[in-house]
Amino acid sequence: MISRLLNKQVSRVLMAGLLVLVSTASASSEQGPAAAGRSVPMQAEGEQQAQASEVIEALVVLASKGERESVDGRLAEVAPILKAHFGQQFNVFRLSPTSPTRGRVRQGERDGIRMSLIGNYFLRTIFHGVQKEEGKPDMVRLEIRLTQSVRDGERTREVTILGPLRLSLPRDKYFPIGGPVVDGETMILFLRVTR
Amino acid sequence: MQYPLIAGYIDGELTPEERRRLEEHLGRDEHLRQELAAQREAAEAMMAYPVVGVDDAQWRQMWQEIGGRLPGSAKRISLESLTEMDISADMLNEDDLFDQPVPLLLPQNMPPLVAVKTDTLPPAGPKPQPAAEKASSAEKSKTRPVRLQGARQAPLFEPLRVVRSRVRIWAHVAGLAAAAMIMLMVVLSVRPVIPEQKLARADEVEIEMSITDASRSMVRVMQDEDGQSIPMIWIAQVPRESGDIQ
Repeated sequence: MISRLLNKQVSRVLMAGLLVLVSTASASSEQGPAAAGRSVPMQAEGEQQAQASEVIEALVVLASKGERESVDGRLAEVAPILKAHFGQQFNVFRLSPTSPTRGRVRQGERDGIRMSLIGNYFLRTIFHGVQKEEGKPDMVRLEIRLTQSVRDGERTREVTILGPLRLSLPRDKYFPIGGPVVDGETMILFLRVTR
Repeated sequence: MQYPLIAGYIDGELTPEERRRLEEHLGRDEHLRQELAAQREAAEAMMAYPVVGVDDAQWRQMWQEIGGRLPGSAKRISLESLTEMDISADMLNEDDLFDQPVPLLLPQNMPPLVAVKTDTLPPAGPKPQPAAEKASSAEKSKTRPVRLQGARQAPLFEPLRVVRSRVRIWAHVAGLAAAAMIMLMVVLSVRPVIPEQKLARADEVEIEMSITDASRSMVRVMQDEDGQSIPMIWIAQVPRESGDIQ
């Protein structure tokens, strides 16, 4: 019945939308370093350069206290851990609509990369190399800085909230950093390194 | 015989190659020329009719009138099937409908269709069924065929029916696409983006923090279901003026 009400133009728009959605989903549904590599133009760079660079992925979870408990279905696995830790402090967890953010950082870049997180918060990352130990996963050495841009008259300044902080992380593992409040919601950043 | 390219030829929708091929056939085939002339005439006749706008209220009222005259399952009869030559008598309320104008949406200068019993009409149509065969099949199905008088002009509705069927196919495709999109959105909305086993455990991370950072932030330790420690840096105090980097 509903389909009879739809006309030809609407159906074409819907088909186009479906194709876009399917292609987006297939791109985002693949996990791991291979998928991250495809999302950033890296394939043609050669193995040597690929080894000297990493992809940084930032996922922002927004936590707050609401009248009723609410958890984004995509956070179903991590939310119980957060709830168990924070107790009554938060009962609403949602994923930032702009997440995830990805950027490739290369070894030797003095300033590294700057990624927008949410609101006026940014993540600056410098890549210091990979620490290899036999029998252990590679540890990616990063220097991170969480910053906030603030307006000062006509000028905009970037204020460091956290860092510089040196982190050694295995690839494909999320490391959480939380605390800053954005429009009444507490930001919890999940940082991951992929190839 | 069907000539599928003729409609496209009349509407100017053929490729140059199709047009050339059809024109070659037209030069040789008298039947094809007649078909082209007939379809062109039909198309011109269609174009000549004024388009009468029917708003939703009128449309609903019309179908209510039709529905009121039809019993039970026959109320689902569509406009398309009413334009067919034959319909079953048991689908119609004979006392009310026969010899009455059938309320169809017709061009202004076309006389209204009237439903009459078949046995009052001579056999019509391109391939009339033999009377005996028709009677036996009617008896078998316990229905009595009736004919909409005036429906010989039904070819006028043919292009409209083709358009309608195409729209219906697209509408079905759109319905399926919409359903697929909804399912995809549901799947994506519940797929975990941070799987629990992908959280870095305490023995997998090394952190070097400055004294300044240590004074305004802390390392909190969460625990998973198995009691393994998951470290997290928690910024307890956001500085206001310190640490400008631009």
